[in-house]
Amino acid sequence: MEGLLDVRGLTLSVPMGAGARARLVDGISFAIGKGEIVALVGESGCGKSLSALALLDLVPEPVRVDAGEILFEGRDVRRLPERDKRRVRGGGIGFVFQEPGAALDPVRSMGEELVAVLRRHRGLNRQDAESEAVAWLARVALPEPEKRFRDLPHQMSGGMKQRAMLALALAGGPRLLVADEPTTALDVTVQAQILALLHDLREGLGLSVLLITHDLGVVAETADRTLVMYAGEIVEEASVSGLFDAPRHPYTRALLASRPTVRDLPGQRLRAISGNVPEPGNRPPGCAFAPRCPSVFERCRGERPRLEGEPLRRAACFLAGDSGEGRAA
Amino acid sequence: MTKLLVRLRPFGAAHLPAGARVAAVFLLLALAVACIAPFAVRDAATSLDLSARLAPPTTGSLLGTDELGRSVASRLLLGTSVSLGVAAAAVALSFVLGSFLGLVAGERGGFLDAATGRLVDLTLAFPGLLLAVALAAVLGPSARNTVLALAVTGWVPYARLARSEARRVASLDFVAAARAFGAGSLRITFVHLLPNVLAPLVVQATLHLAGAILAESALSFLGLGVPPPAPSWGAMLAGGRAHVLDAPHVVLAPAFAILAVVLATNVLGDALVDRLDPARRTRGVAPA
Repeated sequence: MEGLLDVRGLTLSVPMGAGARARLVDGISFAIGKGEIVALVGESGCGKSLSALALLDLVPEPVRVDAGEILFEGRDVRRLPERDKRRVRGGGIGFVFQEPGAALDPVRSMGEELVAVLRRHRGLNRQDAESEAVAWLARVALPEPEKRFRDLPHQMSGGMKQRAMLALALAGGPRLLVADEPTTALDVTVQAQILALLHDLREGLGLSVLLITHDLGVVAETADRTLVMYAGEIVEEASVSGLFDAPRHPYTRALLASRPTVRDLPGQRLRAISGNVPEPGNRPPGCAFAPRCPSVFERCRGERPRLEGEPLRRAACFLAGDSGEGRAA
Repeated sequence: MTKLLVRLRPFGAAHLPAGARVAAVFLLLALAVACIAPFAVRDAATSLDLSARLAPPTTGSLLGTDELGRSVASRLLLGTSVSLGVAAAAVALSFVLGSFLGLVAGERGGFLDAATGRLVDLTLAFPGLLLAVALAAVLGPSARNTVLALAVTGWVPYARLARSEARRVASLDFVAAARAFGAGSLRITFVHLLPNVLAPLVVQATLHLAGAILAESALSFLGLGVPPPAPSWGAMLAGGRAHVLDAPHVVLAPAFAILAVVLATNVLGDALVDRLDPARRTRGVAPA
């Protein structure tokens, strides 16, 4: 598959006081091909959203990118001059935020914002941009697009806001759409609508999508390939079927097992993963998951497993190898 | 325009308590007087009649005459435009300058932010009125110089407020989103930050107006404000000072004018502060 985005060794950190820095994201690498939907899965605080913002070189203060290349269409985004960076933001990579309510300026109408994006990235004049904006509102299936054009965010429902957000993210003609928990803040029925819309738009536009989520149901429904993240590292990469049928990393297994199912009996306790994600700056020396891992053994505590193997079935775990030679070592 | 109206909705008259509404109406009236007075009473306010010096009220002219036989009533009306004009100009200049510096510092951060911060500290280290007095003395008395002298310290509260508000708003998701859609610093600052920080700045301006009227009066009283024969309220106080005991009306008229206008702006400003206090604000809820 032809490459679109290639992230190599992305490392993010925050200052911890006294000159020390805590790593939030530790040298993650992944690639996204043209037309591919890749899901980035992991629990809150594992560094998913920050990694996504780093793709646009927009990590918030005081987080800093320490190392890494973000090759988008062959060019390192971080090394681009400011003008070209702005062109990538919204024009090359579209970004959908988690909370559509918070991510829309309360005093700007949807139409005005769309017009600004269209003029900036597509070079349209005001008149063309206005009719194109209305067309985009229709494309994301907002009812009465001409009327919505003048609406301020507080006049729209959550689902409508997320549709509008999608229109904003796509209007600049990006090749990659990064959706950071696009459905988390929405009702289940609206979630399904948004995901279906995302799917249709991708088909129509030939987009690649990086879908960030903690909801494995969303992954199963939409993605081609999955990256599982834990404590700032990618611990497993697998096709969606491979992930659900034969998870290789104990963390992925625990994640899958902790989903409630309809077969659960009333009153039955949900299966949680015991323990907590290690705090940044207080990471165990070996495998970050070792303190919570049910199949931990000596080697895990002293040595760090690497993400190795074929691109579609690899896990950063000593037990992930087919022969299980890890335990012998 | 709609966006501005949404932001400024808390200022709507319907939301204000009765006292503040009276104050607002009074200020609008004073503003009207300030606009009309230069055309209506300019000659009456400056024509001397030494045969009728310090005449008490009720003898022909409404508020009597001053030490040079000029009509106190006419001077009071004309003084409205001088005092309010200078104060309003000083407030406007401070508002624009301070808000601009604060917004840019808050958005850009880094060196620019630090530099603005030091400039604020430096200006705050001087007693405000003293600096204004010194400047007015150096520049010489004129309406323009009075405005400058007041604005030299007046911009500081706006800059501090705009900076802290800009930093707060800049950390919100929608600003990150705007950047993610490719908006540049200029657009972030003036399209996304400015309308969202405007409300508290307007409140600050209302409160500042009261202070500026007092400061202008003080400068004029010291002879460092608008030069004679233009009748600033402060200058009227200074002129009548020698006759407080035998002709108190000369001093009382401008004193009450200052009192009324300052009181009204303070009442209005306080009401606006209350409106914007997050704990007391009732916000429009988005339809589900």
